[in-house]
Amino acid sequence: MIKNIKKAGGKMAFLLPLAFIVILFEWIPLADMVIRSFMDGGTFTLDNYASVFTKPVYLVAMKNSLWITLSSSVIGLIIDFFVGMALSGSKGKGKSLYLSLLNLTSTFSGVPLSIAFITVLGTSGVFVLIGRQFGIDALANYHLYSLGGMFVIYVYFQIPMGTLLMLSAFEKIRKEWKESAYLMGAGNIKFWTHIGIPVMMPAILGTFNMLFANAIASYATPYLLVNNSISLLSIKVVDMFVGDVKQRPGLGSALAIVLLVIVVVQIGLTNLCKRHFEKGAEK
Amino acid sequence: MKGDKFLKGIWKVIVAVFLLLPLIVTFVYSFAERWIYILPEGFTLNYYIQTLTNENFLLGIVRGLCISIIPVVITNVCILSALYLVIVHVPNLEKTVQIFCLIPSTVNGIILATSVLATYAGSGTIFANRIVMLSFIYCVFVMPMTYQGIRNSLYSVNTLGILEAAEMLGSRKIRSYVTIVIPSILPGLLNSALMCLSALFGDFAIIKIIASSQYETAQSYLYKNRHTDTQALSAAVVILLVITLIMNYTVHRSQQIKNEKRSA
Repeated sequence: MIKNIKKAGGKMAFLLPLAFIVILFEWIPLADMVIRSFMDGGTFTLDNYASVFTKPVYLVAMKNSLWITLSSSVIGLIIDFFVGMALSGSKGKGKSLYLSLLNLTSTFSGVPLSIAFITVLGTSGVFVLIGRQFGIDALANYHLYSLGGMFVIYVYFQIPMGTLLMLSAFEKIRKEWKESAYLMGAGNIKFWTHIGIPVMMPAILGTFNMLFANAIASYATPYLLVNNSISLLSIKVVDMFVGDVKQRPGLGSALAIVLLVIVVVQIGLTNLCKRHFEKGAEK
Repeated sequence: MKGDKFLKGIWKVIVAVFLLLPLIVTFVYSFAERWIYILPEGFTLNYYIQTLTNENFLLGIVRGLCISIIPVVITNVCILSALYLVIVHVPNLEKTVQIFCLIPSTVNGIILATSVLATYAGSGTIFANRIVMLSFIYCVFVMPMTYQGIRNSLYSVNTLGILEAAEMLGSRKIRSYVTIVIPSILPGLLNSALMCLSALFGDFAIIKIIASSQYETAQSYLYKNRHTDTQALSAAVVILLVITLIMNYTVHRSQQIKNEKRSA
């Protein structure tokens, strides 16, 4: 490698612009953040992490974030899986229309999506009004501005991208496999539990990774709907740096590192599972 | 098997209704005159006129587009240049460049933005400028998507083969890279660039962290006016959605034309 680099010589300059951006705006700030999380006024300390893991407010934020992220990702994944399955079997105009709908809604997120949900399910949202008119309590008393209420938006933005990913995984399942499984006497359910899902597992886990990362980093929706009434990790992190309350970069850095570690651990765990299934495929 | 098909159909319809519902309600709302009971009372275009003549909103769109286009262009140029080096001169650097480009997919926007802010704010350098900061964070943010798009395109056209053939005909490699390879992968390039563009155009978190008060985009406009008329707000949402749609459609169209030309 070194030999090659020497040979390339001055041509290494082609790499400079990319290296410049990555080093200055990714590596240095990240390293700085790790260091800052262990600092308090110039001295080394573990206090920041101690607060993160002992103070109820941060523990609750972590718990809330993990709950809404995990549950919306799992439910999103299940929905995506079955829509992907249903779509992979259909073709023609209906399918391409459905794909357009998925593409359109995949760009519908953040502030506009939250505003749309406020018009549908907010305090005087259309469906809340309908619920009141017809005495449907579940709709009339829907409380969008809460963790459980917000959940519906989380599930919403988990659908389009996830379904598109699942669909491409389903299209790799060959018709011949199904036919030969049926010939050997396997039923529909048996085919999917023994062949289909294990083959698709790497793709399913990859999709789960994406959904998880998407949900845990979600900021616009909770900021708009619950802001400070319910604490979430992403909101707490930002508050420590730019919030109205006193800024505490040390603590904020520790929280951000915890957020990062959660994502890394989650990806690590799913990759372990993935490897297990990929090994299975090699045998 | 028939029941199976039926169930799948029902499931598709349920999800489609769920996906369409907020879109349709927002769309109808933006035309509604007053909506206090179940059905709107009369329709009007006033809210569109009001929104489309609102200077802040229009400026917000322009600002949003500017701050999204510049980083996408910068990132594309940087990655094209780095991958040129990798493909032509130092193939073993590929892994390094890949790691460079894919880390941001794990480090989400919030961590990226807060870390850059804490490092450079008040540093007295050019990076302390919020617009500069924002542009570069956006560059890092779209790196994974751009990298994957460009890499796939470059390998699908056998770049090295083309460059070597052109060299034998007397053209320098870098010249043929710019005049032959890049134009031939342009559709793929545009496609990934557009996806990045709409992701940045829809961003709220990063801009809120870095430049909430100084650089108001359409997204921040929506946030700021969230307590005003729901109808005007809905009209704004619909307009933003239409802009994204137009972006998607343009690229789709250009690809189609290109394909038709090829097959002709």
